[in-house]
Amino acid sequence: MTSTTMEQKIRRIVAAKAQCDPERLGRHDDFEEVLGLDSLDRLDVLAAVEDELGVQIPDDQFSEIRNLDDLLKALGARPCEIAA
Amino acid sequence: MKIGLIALSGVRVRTRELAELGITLPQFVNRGRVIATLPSLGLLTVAALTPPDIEVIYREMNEVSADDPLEPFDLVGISSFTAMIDDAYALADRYRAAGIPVVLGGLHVSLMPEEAAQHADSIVLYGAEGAWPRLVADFRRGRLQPRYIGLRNGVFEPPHYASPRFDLLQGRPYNRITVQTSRGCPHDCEFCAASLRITSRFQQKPVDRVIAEIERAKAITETPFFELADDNTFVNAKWGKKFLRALAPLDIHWFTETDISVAEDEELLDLLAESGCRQVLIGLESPTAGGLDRIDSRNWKQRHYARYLEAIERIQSRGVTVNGCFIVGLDNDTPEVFEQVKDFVAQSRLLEVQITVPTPFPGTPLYHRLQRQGRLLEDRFWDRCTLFDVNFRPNKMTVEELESGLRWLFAEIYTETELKRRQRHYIDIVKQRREDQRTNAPAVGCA
Repeated sequence: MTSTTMEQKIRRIVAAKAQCDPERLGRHDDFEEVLGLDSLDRLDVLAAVEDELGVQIPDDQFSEIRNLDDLLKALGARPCEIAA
Repeated sequence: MKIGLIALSGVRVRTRELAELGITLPQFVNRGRVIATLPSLGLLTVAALTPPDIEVIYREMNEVSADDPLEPFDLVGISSFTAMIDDAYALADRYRAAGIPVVLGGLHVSLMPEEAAQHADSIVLYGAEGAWPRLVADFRRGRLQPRYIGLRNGVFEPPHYASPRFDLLQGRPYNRITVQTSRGCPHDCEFCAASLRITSRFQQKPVDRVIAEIERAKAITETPFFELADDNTFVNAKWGKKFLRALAPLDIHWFTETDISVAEDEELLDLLAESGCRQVLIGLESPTAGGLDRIDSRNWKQRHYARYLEAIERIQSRGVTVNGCFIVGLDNDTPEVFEQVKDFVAQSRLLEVQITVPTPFPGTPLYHRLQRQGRLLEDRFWDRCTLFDVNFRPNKMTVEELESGLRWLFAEIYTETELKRRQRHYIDIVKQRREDQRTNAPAVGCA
C-alpha cells in the first residue's frame, strides 16, 4: 500500500469517527481537542486502522498518537512520502 | 429580582503522600477530575423551579474569588457536598455579612441540618422539588422560613417535576452534561452518601422526560458527552430497554453507574452498546466474597460476587468499558486485600479501575456505626471526605497499613504499562466486534 493510499484510508476512518469531511481534516488537528473525540473514540480510531489496514500499532505509542500525523508516523509512513 | 445559584466543584486529597502520588500517577484521580468538572444538576433544577419572572444567574465556586467584591444578588443559593462544605459555609458567611440572604441545600445539608443552619438564612432538606417554589414565594413576601422540607418521593411527576435549565450552561466549557434518570438505589449500602439518603424509595423518571431533557441539553453543546447522574440506572430492565431504544437515535456517547445485574440481560447489553454507552461504573467493592459481607443489608452484592468475572467480560465484550470500583479497608479486609485487588484487576481485565477507602460521610449509617464503635479518628473531618483520605480505624489493619497499602496499590494499578495494557485490550475488543459484525452481516449479491 502506498503512503498516499494509507493516508486516504486513515483520513476516512478519522473523519467518520469525528463526523467531518476527510479532505478538511488537518494533519495536526488534535483528535480530542480539535475534533472533539473522547479518549475511547481515539482508541476506536486506532482499532479501525489496525483492522482495515491489517497493521499493528505498537502499544507504547498509543498515548503519543494525538493527530493524523502522529498516526501516520506510528505506522512508519515517512513524512516525505505522505501526500500533502 | 436576581437569584445567584453557586455550585461547588473539586476535591483536594489531603494526605500529603497521596497528593504527591497523584502528580506522578494522574490516572488515579481521573474520575474525581471528571466529577469536578460536571455542572450542578441540582442547581439547574432549582433554576427550573424558580418563577420565570426572576432572573437566575448560575456560577461555579471557582468563579467567585475571595479577593473580589461579591456579585450582587437579592438571594443566593449554594449547593453542598461534604468535602467542600467549609468553602460553601465561608462563602455563605461572606454573603450574609454583606446583607444578602443565603439558602443552603444539597446532600450534606440534608444530613447535617443543624450545622448548616448556622451559616444560612434558610436551608432546604432533601429534594428542591416541593420546597423551592414555596421558599421563593415566602422570600418575595419577606417571610423566608429557616427550614424547608423538600420531597423525598414523586419528584419526577407533575406538578413537582421540572426539567433542568440546561440553557444556563450555554457558552460554558463543560466536557460532560449530566442528566438524571433516577434517584435512590434499592441496595442500601452502609457507606453510600448519594441520593439514596434524600429519597424515601427508588424513583425513576419516565423515559419521554429523560429523552426530552437530553435533546434540550444536546442543543447547547457541540460535542455532548452525557453522564447520567444516577446511582443505579438499570434497576428495572424493562424501563432500561425502553430508555435505550429511545436513546439510540440521538447519537450521543454516555456514561452511567449501575450494578452488576446489568450483565444478566443480553438484550440490555446489546442496547447499551447500540445507544452509545461508553462506560458503566460498577461498585464491585471487594475482590473477595468475604469482603462483601454486610456491605448492604440484604447481602445482595455478596450473593452476586460469583458472577463478577463473567459479568465484566460480558459487558466489556460489547465495547462498553467497565469502571470497576473497589473499597479497600472494609471491615473484613486484611492487609492482603491490596494484592487481592491487584490480582482481581489482572484476572478480570477491567478496562478502568477506581480504588477508594471507606469514607464515613456524616449522617450515613457507616458514620454512625464507626462513631458508636469509637473508630473515627477526628470529630470533624469533612474536608477529608475525599474517598482517598483515611478517617477511621480499620478493623483488621492499622491506619498506616491502609494508607501505605493504598499507595502501593495505586502505584501497581495506575502505571503507564497497565494503562497501555488496558488500551490494547480495548482495541482488541473493538477489532473482535468488527470481525463479528462482518461475519454476521448478511451476504450481498448472492442468489
